[in-house]
Amino acid sequence: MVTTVDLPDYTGYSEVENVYGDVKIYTPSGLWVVGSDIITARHVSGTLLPGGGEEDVIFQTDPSVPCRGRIRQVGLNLWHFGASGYADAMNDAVIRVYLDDDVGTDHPTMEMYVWDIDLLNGGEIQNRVDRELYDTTITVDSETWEVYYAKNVSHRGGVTLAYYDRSGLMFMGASCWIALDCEWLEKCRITLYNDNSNPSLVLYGHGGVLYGLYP
Amino acid sequence: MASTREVMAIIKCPGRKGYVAEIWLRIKQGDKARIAVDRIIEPYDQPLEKLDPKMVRGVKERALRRLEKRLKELGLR
Repeated sequence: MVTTVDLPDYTGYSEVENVYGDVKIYTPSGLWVVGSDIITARHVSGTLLPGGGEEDVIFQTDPSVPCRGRIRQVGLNLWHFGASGYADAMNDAVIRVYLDDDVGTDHPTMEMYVWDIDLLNGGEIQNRVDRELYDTTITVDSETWEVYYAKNVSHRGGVTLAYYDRSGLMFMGASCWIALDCEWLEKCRITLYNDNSNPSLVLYGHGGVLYGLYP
Repeated sequence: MASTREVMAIIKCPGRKGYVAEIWLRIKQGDKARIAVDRIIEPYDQPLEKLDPKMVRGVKERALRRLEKRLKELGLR
């Protein structure tokens, strides 16, 4: 649905009377007024394959065109094609978010391991892994992995699925998402960092970002 | 009535089959404005699945360079 919203002058486009597309407005009363995001929200996906110590871009704005926007949600799906050559999908995979002045530096504005995202959901997956409370198993390259489906996922996100190799003591895959709701004023960059010390051990998967720009 | 198109933002990301640029445009016509998003995909020269990580990086960087070139040709850089 497309609606019409009168914009106040702070946009710098006071000659414009109307903009089609809703915005999320923090009103003086302290309440958020939220409209449809159909026009202002987009989703992109990144194909990722960072080796140990590397980071791979999921999403970035072009710094030559400053813009103001927000990240609503980030999703990540990491998996292994085989039993070896991969980093740990929970304990080596880090989502890094760089906002504004942090873009182009080596210190992200925020970073979260997939393990941290599970912890925001109460650490359900890790807790069940510790007690071998898996849902089922699968066999890949003659190795059996435990499969964990999250029974409860916070409305802000969590790890929804994980594969665990008990003999190798590592996570062979993980799916997670998190609602970040963070805002940038000029530029933004989101990456997947592989925190494994071995450059030949990779993370493979896809990342998706739901974002929007202010009209 | 004549309209003007202003680039609000250019978002770039490595998509599944190619490097993607999303170009956000503010189109003004008289006292009205609307937003449009154009999407350009520069295909990878080979599928990324099962490639060595260093090759993946190269494939993505080449696609990004071609994408930058296309954006430049469109006057967006």
